[in-house]
Amino acid sequence: MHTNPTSLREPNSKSAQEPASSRPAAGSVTKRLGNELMGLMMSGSPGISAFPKTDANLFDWVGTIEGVAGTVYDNLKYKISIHFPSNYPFVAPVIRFETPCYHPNVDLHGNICLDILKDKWSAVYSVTTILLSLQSLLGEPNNDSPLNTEAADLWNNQEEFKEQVLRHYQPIATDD
Amino acid sequence: MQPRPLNEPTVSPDAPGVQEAMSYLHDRDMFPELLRFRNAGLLKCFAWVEEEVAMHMEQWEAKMAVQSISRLIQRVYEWYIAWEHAPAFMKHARGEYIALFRARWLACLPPSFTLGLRLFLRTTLPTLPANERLFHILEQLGISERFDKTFIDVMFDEVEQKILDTCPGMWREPRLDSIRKSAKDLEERWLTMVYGHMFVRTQNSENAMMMVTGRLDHFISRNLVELRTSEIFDIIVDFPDTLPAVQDLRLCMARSLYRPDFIEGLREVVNQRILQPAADTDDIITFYVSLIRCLRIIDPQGVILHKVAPPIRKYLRDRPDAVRCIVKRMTDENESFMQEGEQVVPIQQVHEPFDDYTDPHWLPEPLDAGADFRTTRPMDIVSTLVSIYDTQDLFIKELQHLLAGRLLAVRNSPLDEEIRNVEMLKMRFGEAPLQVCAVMLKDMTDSRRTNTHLHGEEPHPLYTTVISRLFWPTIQPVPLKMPGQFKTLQDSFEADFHKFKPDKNLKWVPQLGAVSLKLDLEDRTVEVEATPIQAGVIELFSEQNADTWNVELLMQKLGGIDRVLVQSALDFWIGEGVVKDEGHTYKLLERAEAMTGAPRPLMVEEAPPVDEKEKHQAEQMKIYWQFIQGMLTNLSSLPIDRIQAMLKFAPGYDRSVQELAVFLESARREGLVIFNNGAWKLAKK
Repeated sequence: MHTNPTSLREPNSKSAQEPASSRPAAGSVTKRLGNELMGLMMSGSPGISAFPKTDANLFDWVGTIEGVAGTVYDNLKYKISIHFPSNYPFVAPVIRFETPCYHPNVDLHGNICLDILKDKWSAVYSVTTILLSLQSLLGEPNNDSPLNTEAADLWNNQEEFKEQVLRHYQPIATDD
Repeated sequence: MQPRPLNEPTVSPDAPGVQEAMSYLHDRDMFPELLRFRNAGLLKCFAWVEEEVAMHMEQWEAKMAVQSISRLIQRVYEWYIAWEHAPAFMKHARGEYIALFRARWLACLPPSFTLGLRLFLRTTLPTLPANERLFHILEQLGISERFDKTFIDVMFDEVEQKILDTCPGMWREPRLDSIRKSAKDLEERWLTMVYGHMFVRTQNSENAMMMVTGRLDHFISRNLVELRTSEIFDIIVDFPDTLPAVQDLRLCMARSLYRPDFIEGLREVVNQRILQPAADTDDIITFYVSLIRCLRIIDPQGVILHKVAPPIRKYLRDRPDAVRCIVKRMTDENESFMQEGEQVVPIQQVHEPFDDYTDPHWLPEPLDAGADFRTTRPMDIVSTLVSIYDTQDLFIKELQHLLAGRLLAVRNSPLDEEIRNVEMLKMRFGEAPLQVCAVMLKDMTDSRRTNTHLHGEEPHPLYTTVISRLFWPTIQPVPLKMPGQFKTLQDSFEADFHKFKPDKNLKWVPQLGAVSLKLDLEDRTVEVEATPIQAGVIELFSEQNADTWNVELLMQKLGGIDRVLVQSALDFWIGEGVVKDEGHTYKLLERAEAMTGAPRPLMVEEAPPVDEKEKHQAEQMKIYWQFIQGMLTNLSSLPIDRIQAMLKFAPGYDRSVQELAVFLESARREGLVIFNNGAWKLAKK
């Protein structure tokens, strides 16, 4: 696996501010990411998936999360982007929803408010655990710290909430 | 005053006249003179004793009979007593006499006397308490003092004899304790007898005894370890029946003194008896397992095992069928690899160094632990066996192969056992590697569901197992075309299946499975279990006006399958007495005929359903398939060169684009992927 750390360029991400000293560790980061990919591929957890965007860069992934049956997100597929900082796993990956998602803890730009991605982050988490957490967050929002207050207020009215979810939802484009 | 030969009467010192003569000499202070005269005479006459000693020793050396020694001692004692007689006033000169006599007679003993004495003393052991007089004599003659080492040796001889008498081949009961007890007992009696005369029990004698006791205990341990080392092969093979012997060994080996020899012996046995081409792989594994269990008792820290096991492990690694044997045992109901209290340890942890800092029974590494010795996690047997190999892939592959065989053989009976097995193995290997097996099991349950869905709850003549080809070992279909009613059944199932799962391609593996047949013949009914090919052959015979066939025609009608297969199917029916061989043609026997000649031996040689080389490839492709699935899920559709480039994330991927194309094409035929506008994407579920 050859990943050139200098090719890491994400205009609006934090990577530009990261100290240069963390760069030499890129080898072990790619190794860890490789392992996480392998683990995720073999985990066979239903409804979650992710893969590097290109073969040249292991630090940017695309993921897919399916809503769990029995929740308002049942049968809906959400695309997310995952960016791993070069000092991963000591710093949480940056994750955002690419498919518009109407959810109390997701804002209009797709930013997510989830404790394990912020102050509760720990190096023992992996892509698989994050994806599983996100999947369960869909069905069980934390209405105490909403990013989308309107959605949080509406949560108790599930029928109307579902209507809003579907109105915001855009099916993942397929090219056929 | 002069010593005389024994047969001459001696003059009593108290005889009349002697007293007076003595007091005369005494008055004139001539005793020293007299003593010198007597000693000179003694030395002159000592030749007689020497002669006697030489005679008895000659007898001893000629016949090796301990009686010679016994007689010799008796005779010398007679001389000793006879010459000791001296006038009362010379009593103070007695010490000088004893010293002189002892020195002279001991000097004329040849070296062979030591052995003689040793053997002679052995014979006195059984009647020890009755020999008080003998030991008195031995002491008087200075033998006890001069040959003290021999006296101890006698005891060692006896203990050794005891071990040789009672221990060889006796592995089913503990011996060490009884040996120690009897040695202790013997020592007590013997030393009291021997030393009891030389000195009263003082602090000194106690110390001497302590020292001997320690040496004796060493001696027992060494002898027993030596003996058991020479028997170690049988002890290990018969374990756990030989547990008492192993326990004894553990106690003896508490002194690390004997460990090098034991290890050496063990290595030799392993080399001679186990690491031989003639040894069955199964037996080697059995031995290894027993060895582990034995050594766990003898040396819980595992140093000995660490020194002995590597050659066995290396040898097993080179045996091609070792994996199969191990896997078979792992999943065998009757085989118990697990002992009580053993913990299943996930394999990944096996190679990690292990130190349990909370263990209150922690011990430092033994002295003989090599530099490369590491305290390893306490492992169960399966983990130990699996850790022979650097990777578990082999095991997973073999497991999958085994499971495939078993699942395909299962007839509609519950799969509980297989499911339990797979769950157990998940605990060891982790969830991911056994994904494939889980899929195989799921195929089985899905098949049941499909069957129930298509046929309803009633029993149906056709029961199908639908397997996901990518997750199973490669099964090479035989181009068998089932004739007659079988074809009708297959076709109707196929049609139903397509309606039920329109996106799936159904491909028959017609040679697998079993058919329960009931043949209604004119005079009898035959009920048999047959293979599909056998069933196909007899089906052709049952067609109208077709009770005679030749092999070529049968081959052709069955879709051009191999001659061997048709021939063996015909042989099966001949064996059942349903078909008769008429030279080049075969005829159906509507009426039973007496068997002509001996029934042909059934050539039931089942070709392995799985192609070894392809099996390996299919196995690897399963991992890659997960990756392809992952990338297509997230990146929607991709051209093949992008897929190829992305697959570098999959460890060990080394296929060419062409191979990938073949793989994708086969996945497409199975309805897993779609090819559209030069790009591949997942088929919608």
